[in-house]
Amino acid sequence: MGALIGVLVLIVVVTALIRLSSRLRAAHQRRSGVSASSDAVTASPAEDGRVSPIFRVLALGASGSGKTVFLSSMFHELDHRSQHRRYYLDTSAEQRILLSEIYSSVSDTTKPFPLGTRVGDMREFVFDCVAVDDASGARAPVLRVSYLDYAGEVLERGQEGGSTSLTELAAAMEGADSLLGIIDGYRVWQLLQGIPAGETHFRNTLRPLFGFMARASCPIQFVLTKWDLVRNFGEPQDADDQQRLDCVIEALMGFEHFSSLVHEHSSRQVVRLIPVSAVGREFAHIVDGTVSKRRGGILRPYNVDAPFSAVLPDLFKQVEATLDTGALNGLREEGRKALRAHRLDAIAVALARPAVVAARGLLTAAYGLTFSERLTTAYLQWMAAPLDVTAQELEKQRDAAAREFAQLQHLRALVMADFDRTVLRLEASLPQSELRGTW
Amino acid sequence: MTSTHQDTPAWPFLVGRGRHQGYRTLLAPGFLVEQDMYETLSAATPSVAPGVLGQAEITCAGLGRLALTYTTESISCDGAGGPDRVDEWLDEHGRPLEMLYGVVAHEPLSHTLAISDLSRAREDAHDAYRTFLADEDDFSVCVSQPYSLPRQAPGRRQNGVVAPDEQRQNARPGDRHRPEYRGRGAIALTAFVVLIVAAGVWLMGRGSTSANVSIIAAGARPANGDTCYSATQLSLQASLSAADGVRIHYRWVPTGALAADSPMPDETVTIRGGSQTVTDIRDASAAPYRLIIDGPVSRRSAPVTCRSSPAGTPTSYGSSETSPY
Repeated sequence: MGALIGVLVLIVVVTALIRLSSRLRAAHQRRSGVSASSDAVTASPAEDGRVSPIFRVLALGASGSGKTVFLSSMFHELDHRSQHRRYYLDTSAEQRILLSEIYSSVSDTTKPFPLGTRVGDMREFVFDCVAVDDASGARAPVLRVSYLDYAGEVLERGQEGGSTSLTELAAAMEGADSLLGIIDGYRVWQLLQGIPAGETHFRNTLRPLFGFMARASCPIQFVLTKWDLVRNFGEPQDADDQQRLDCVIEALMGFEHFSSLVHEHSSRQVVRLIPVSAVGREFAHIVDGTVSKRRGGILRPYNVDAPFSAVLPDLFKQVEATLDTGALNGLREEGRKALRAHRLDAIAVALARPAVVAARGLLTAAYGLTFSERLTTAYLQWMAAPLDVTAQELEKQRDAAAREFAQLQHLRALVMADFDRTVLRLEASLPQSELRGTW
Repeated sequence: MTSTHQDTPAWPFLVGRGRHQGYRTLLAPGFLVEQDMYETLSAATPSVAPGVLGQAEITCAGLGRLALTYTTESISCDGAGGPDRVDEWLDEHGRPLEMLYGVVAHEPLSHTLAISDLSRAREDAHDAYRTFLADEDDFSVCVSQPYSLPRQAPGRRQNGVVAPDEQRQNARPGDRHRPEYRGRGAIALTAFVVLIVAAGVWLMGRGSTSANVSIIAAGARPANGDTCYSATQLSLQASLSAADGVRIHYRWVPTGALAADSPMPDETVTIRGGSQTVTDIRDASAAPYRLIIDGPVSRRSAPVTCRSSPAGTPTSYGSSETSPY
């Protein structure tokens, strides 16, 4: 009897241990699954401090406004070197395939546009901006950008029916370094045509979006998607892009929540309305109120690199415009000192210097911006540029780590110059894209 | 291997987009609708490819853990019914329409469940989708009725049905809600019996008064001016019916994204002559609103949005159907 009880106790204990082990393993696997995706984000060169940390860009837009298609087109445009661009975007194999599938679906004129993003499919795309210096052959990631993709309905329907997606999105907004307000060109076309759905969209549907942007403590930009569709709304037959954009701006400024948002933010930062087209002209048209592809249409994306390129230059220029000469010189000096040291810890030391601490306080007070340590780091590095790093100087560095660091500064300067060039091109072709608020 | 067949009630659900209305839950169990938790279904169901079963789990306050089993299906001409032209089944942005449908259960369903086991849910989903497409603007979530599905179905894997492991591999990243149930048959059975008994008691208790209280119509119009666009306030109106002398407690609850910023007062009205019209003024920025009756029984309207009237005609209230429960 005693032996029987012993065996039974043993069986119970062993069974319990097996189940416990199984659960622990399952829990570990679940955790691994989550952290695997997190690792994909964080286990980058950015984390070792040798490149600028991640910049979080959040595109706020209604359902169907083209957030995902724009993203896929931007990546397709920038995922390779070009003659006039010294950087390209890289991402994980999984995300590359996913974006490629979306782009293929967009480009196939025998199929409809790809399915919209579902509410349950909120996902983060992470891109490494890899710089290439043709002169030296150096190549390294210098910047990392994350882009959250989500269903636009989250913004439109809020927390109806117990949905918590808006809470997740609000948290993402809090952590964003830049907000892109996505304005649907199709809705703009409806608005300009006098179709009530267009008016309703800007009057009611986008109201929460503008509200979120008004409260943002980070820089904001507007991206006007489907620019190829914003035509034939009654403009002069020979109207060019500038004239059409003037019409759009005039119509949008008619909405007080938009104009007041522009007025409020443009007083302290650059606010742009950047027209883009993920597909280009003659690819899609509107048939019976529905956007359709033209048979045999060929993709010719327009301006899809501009919003990405404008994020950092606009942010840094806005900072520079605010600081007085003394503070500016103090920051620049600290930045150069740090960079000349060619050491990673020099930046950390610079962040603690009184001039930098004071400047961060000024920036927060002046903009209401949360000027984080990583933004300040990037700003210091940008400010100190152009740091003339020649091949000879690189060779003089004491050790490989210092050489690598100096090389990165050089590569970063190349990328920033490319960004600047893209922004200048935009300003030259569409000067009114920089919005000015008026009461 | 020996096994037992045990059934558990499963409620169909449907999530989808309309031609111009966005992605939302269109069909859900009454207990989720009643607790205003039905959109958790749309948020907790990551993509799966058509023909693949997805599994997820949600936890709702007061309801505990719920297991979701679902799949997706493109809308075709022989699906939700309607015009024969394929392009009729695109939304206004040129994107195909799609149904994500499945079942909600208090118990996990068998890992070897096949798509064909969801045929009843698919039929109900089609019905709900047809209703939605017929009038997207005034649609309110439909309530589903449960049917029985097996908790265990040994042998299905041998019959060539997609194995659960394979299904999991096919599910996309982000599907973080995995059901993990084992050996809870007795608890499940007990819970089911208690649920049935409780539901019966509840239904018996509410029967005498609930049958007589209803929202006949609800709507909204600008409180100032003729157009919704320029309105800063809305005049919300509802027609209520109940027995004479019944005191109804109600409130207008904003359902827009700005809802959290706009706490709304409770109102009461005493019914005279079998029906009563109530009118209240609310801030337009928090629209749309939903009428909620808290007592003597619970009722709710679909969200009501402001309706402008054509120029030169008097303003009128947009109307909304009562939620079917």
